[in-house]
Amino acid sequence: MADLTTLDASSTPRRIAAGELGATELCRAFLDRTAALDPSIGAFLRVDAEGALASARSIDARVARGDSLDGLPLAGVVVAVKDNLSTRGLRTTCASRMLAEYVPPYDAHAVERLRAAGAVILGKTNLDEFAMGSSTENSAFFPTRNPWDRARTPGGSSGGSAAAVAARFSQVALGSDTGGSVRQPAALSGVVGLKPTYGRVSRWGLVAFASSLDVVSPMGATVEDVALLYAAIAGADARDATCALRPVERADLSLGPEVLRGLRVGVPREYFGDGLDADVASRVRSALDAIERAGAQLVELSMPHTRASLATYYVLAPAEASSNLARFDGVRYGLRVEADDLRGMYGATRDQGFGAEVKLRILLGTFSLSAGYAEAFYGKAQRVRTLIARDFAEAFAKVDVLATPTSPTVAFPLGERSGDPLSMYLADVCTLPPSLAGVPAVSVPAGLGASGLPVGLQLVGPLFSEARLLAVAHGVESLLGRVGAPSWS
Amino acid sequence: MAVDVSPERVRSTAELARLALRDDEVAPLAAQLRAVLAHVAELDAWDTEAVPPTAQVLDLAMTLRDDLPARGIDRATALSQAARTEQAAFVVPRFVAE
Repeated sequence: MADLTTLDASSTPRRIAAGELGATELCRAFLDRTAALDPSIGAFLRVDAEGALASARSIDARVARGDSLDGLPLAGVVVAVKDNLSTRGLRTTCASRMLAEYVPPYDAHAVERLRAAGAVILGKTNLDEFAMGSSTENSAFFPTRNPWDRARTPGGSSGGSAAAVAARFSQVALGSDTGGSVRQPAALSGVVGLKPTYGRVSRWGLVAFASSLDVVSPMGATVEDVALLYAAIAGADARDATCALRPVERADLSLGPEVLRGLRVGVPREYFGDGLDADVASRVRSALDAIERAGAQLVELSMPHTRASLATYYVLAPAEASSNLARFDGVRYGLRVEADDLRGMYGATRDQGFGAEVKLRILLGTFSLSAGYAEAFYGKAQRVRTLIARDFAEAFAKVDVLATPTSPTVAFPLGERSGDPLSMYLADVCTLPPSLAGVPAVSVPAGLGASGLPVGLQLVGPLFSEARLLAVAHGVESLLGRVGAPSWS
Repeated sequence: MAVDVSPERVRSTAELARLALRDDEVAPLAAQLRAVLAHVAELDAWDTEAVPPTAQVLDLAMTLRDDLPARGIDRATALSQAARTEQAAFVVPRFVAE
């Protein structure tokens, strides 16, 4: 029998419904592969074999009874979930010592949706602590390695989810994207990652990092698989007041590269300046040439506030994080380090529970919100955020989508940027502007660079344009071909 | 805006954030904060005199769900993840003098 772990998510429910494949058989194939190979990658913080097999058996039981699988769009699909999404009864640690033993009493909204759609949740994936990082090296437990080159990072913070998909430990995965945490690891790991419009997916049960930026986001080996997962998790939820009420449009992926004919593709020059690796620039330029040959019109344009994004983000996100992470005080959940008085207990708990990067960001945020500095830092950054969002609104008056590199570099060596936060932050320089503007963006593989490592192309659309953006991404994917799977195993 | 990030400033900010930093953490954190804040100071170059702030991007009116009774998590579940509880309460160290 062919290796079941190469099966795409999109055809899985149909094949299970037709009796060609058992959900349990598929689940076991992924469990076996993960058990054998993940020790050399470190994608998962924990595998829930028992829970996954129980879900798979319930799908098989439905088929055996002759029940329809209609209404279960993810029937039997094997999913990995980033460990900052709450899973009822299954530890959710955010890769932090603070939550090392935390067992949520409820599922995140996106996890509820997965279960309701018939998905099989294989386990929880590694991340930078509380999603703060771009390499998955800030995990309190262990770093994740890139399946394309195990001496390199898979990117981050959703590096565990990206590596799980790239290494075929799961068919698709959920991550979260605050400033690029799904798109950048997707690019570095040779998979597809979509950050939907802010508010398109409920944040209920996602452990909060920066609430005005966090978006639960799907990853997969193909655009079709990502579209499938996106359709399952997007939509209104009354438990998140910032969750959009408007209906979710289905992506029509039937056109292939034809969707590119006549499309106006903006190419903002600020994304192609200093700091962009020649290898990445060359692959992205080749991809743009191919898109133009397929009938699209490339429109060079300027988005002048792009270079303010890094500074803006590193005021706003830490400010929100410093407030959100105040809840970890040793009282209601998580780590507690005893001390003689309440303040001592707070301080000791937070000092021992948080890692270095989280402490840095809490301090940054606390500082920029403190008396005397709040308007100069936080207020200023909020105003510059308006200018960045206006850049996008003006661009989308002229073009249908924007195309940029996803990351200025290919996957970088483990340890190369540890201890130098600013150099690590630059890994997200292309993904931050769409996050600040709230617009949807997807990273699709643009082939392998001269180094043999994957390069990502970022496509960005107007607010709530996911259906069209996915169709365009599918067209680009059809045109450029898939990068295939890494050969390490 | 130029900022002096002294070890004392790091300690006072940590106090606001309820972080009891160890002595050996202060100097590296001060250096990293200094580097990031120096970059952040570039925001001063942008004229935002007439620009309104963006707190969130969707321009949403505050949405309220229907006011319907619903069951939340029960007390035992709410207490189940706490390090110290007693009867129906979370226990914290004493914080008022006897």
